[in-house]
Amino acid sequence: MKQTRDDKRTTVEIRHLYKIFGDDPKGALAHVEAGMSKTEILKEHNHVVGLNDINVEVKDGDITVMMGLSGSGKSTLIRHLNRLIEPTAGEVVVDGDDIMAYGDEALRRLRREKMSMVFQNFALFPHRTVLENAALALAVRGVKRADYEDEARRWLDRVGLGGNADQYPSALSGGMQQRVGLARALTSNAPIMLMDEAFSALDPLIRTDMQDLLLELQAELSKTVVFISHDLDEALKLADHLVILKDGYVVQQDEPQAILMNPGDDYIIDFISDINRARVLRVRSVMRATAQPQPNVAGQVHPEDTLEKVIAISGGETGLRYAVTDDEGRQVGILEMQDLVRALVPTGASESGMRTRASA
Amino acid sequence: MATYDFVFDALGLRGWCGEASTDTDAPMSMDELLAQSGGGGGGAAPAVSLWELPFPSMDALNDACAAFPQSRELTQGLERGFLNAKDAMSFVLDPLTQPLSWALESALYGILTTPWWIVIPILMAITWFVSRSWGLLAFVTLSIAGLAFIDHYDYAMQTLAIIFVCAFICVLIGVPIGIAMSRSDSFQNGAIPVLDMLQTLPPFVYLIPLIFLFSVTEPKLYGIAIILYAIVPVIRLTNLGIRMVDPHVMEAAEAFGMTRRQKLYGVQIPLALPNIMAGVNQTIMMSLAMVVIASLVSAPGLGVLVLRGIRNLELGVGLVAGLGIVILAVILDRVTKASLARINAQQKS
Amino acid sequence: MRVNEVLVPGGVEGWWIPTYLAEEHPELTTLEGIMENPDLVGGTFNNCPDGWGCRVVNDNLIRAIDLESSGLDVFNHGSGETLATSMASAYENEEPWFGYYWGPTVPLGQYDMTKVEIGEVDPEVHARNQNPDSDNPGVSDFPAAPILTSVTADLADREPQVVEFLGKMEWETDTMSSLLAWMEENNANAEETAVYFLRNYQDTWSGWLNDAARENLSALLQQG
Repeated sequence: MKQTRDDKRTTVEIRHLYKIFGDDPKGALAHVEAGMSKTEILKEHNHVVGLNDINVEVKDGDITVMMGLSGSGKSTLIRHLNRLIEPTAGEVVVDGDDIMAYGDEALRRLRREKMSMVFQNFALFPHRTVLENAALALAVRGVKRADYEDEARRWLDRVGLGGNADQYPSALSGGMQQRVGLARALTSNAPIMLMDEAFSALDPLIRTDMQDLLLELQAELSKTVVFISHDLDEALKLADHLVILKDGYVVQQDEPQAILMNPGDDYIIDFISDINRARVLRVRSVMRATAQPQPNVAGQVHPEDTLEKVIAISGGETGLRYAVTDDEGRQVGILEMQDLVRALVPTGASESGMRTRASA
Repeated sequence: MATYDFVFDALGLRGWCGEASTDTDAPMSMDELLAQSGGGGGGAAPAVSLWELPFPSMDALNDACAAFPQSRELTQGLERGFLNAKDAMSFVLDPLTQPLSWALESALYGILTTPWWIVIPILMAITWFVSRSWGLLAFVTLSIAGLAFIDHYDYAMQTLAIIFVCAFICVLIGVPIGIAMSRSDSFQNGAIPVLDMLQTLPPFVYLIPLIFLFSVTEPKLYGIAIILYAIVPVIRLTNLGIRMVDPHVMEAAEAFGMTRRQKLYGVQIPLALPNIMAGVNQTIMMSLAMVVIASLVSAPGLGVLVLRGIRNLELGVGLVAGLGIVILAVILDRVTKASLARINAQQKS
Repeated sequence: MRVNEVLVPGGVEGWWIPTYLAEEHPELTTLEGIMENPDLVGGTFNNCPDGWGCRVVNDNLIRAIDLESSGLDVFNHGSGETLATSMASAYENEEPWFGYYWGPTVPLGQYDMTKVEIGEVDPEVHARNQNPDSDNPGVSDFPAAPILTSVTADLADREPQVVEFLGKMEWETDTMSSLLAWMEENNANAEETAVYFLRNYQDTWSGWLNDAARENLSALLQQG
């Protein structure tokens, strides 16, 4: 049986986190807590609410994707996890420690040993070679070049840059530079990886490559990844747990399939209305869970197969029924093609969604 | 009698003003003399039209009230204040700046007592080391040989030694100041007017007081003059260079737990290096521009020849020495630019 | 067109020490005395800047008397300003000082300096000393330098009265020095000094004017 979310250890927990930008954030905080809206605060008190009562649990070994449009506060949020930005109020607990209580030295140790980070614009050191960039975390800890070189080369090989170790970053393409960024994060051997729109600056094809690379590495390493994205397709592809942010607060957070099947409000419905559901939805989200064998099954499918794949197998025939079997060959459910087709239609509620209303 | 009598009358300060002194030794201007005799000692103030109204300056107010200080007393007061404070200032500043004298003395002594056939190859080696350019090496060698050929070797080397010492000290002091400016906005705001002042204040205005503080035979006098003027670009460009370091790169350095020290030496200074080097180049050029003024406070070198040329109207002497300074300037400029280009190439490649 | 020698006896130049030093150590007023006690004058001879006429003469004198053999350093100033300031600075601190200066000037008027005897004035030797490449410099003190009033021939034609006045105008170097000192002490400007001169040195200027002008000016001053 697959491990459920509740069974996993919580690595990072964000509790009641607020961030308000302005001259007197603490003063404005009182208004936010009293329920004043973001626009009112901006208009009446000239403060910008960046984050508003964020509560997220990041589970060990998961890819937690925080997504939202620009201005939703996602980049601000991820910078609170290693305190590149100080919150106005709230706690960030990493492995049981509230890192807000950390002094400089403890904070540096956290950044050096527990958390690595990948940036949207790569942020490589232009005056250091690819190898030296990849080895940054080790060099910062005081490891000598002779001792870190093997480790850094190993990770450069792993991300496909074995031959570029002695070049300078400016000689590399954007995609290759971000591979260096990834190698830099991996070489630090930190269990937690923060990825701030890591692939957003890349061409679509390269982006897909990088996403595949990340999933491949993740299958191997099981890091705890916090991934920021504004791209829903990317979020759905990568996420074990998806947090959707809007205007600095969490609109909905859940397993991605669950959000697709049960969107929490009109904003989410609109948000997911444009995606290719067949490619994202998986058999386990649509099947009827039962161990009872059924007659007339046309074949067997895997619970993690996408609906797109099943449609291809079925040849478009809607009257069929498939048995859903897991890796050990045990039946875990039955998939009716009719249910599958129904699931492809976006939730009815979106008819009254914001976008429809706006254009009416 | 004077335009602004009414001010003191209205304020009831007439008694404080007292009577104008009739002492014949007191300074008196020609106008006053004529006014005294022409007016026949009469008390009526001549009517002053609005057009001719004098600004209520210290001197104009002194006319109306003898007890009011004249502006010359301001400058006199400054002078007295300086003379009173000079012993204390000398006590602090003299030992503080003494290493500069030693450095200049030993550099001048070293470069002149070392035979030319050692000094010139050393200069060639430095050129090659920083530029790796055959063309530049040939240019430098020919220029120095040319100066030596027309018997200007000693003067040129003295000037070069002074510039080396002063530029080195400028970097030694200027880079840390620039770094401090880049880290604190308030320090930057305070420092910029001072830097502006250093570049505009005529050097003799502070050099003459310095002679009162130190012995006039000290080389540090001209060292200070050169450094105060030439240090400005290296400070400005260090500050600018560090402030211009990509904030994303700095964020990455922060995110990987670099200490302030690691960030400074590992990221900020290397990335600001092109700007710092541009500052060094400017600093060297500006110290060369001060060579003639430095010679007015007894700096040896080509500046002395320029002054001699000007004073004796020996146009040839002045012209050749001036050209010698230009040649040194071109050499130093090309060599520092070449090393700058190499740093840039390294970061871009 | 030369009109007159305005200063009597003329400009003085030479090597000087402060009077307070001369009073304390009377032996320092001669060159021999200085060369025997170089430390008493601060160990340094303050020489003229390069490019000045006196520099050539000084350099030749230094060679002729072999000044440096006594242990005195010759410091070549870069400019007249630093030369004057070094003297002023030493004077303010009552420190020893030894060097070249000339008058009438503000510093020589303001600071009480004593001339060091170099030797007899020998015009021929002095002329030789003025040649920078002189083979055999000699020892000769500085002769007084004539300071002249000159006008263009044009002015003499146009304003004969003024030129006549200039022809009579002459005063003593000491008067000039004391005027300069008064000016410095009172922080006065040139115009105020002129007034001071008119009011306090009647004897000097009365001989310069014809009778009518003298009476005019006297009347004017009397009223004040």
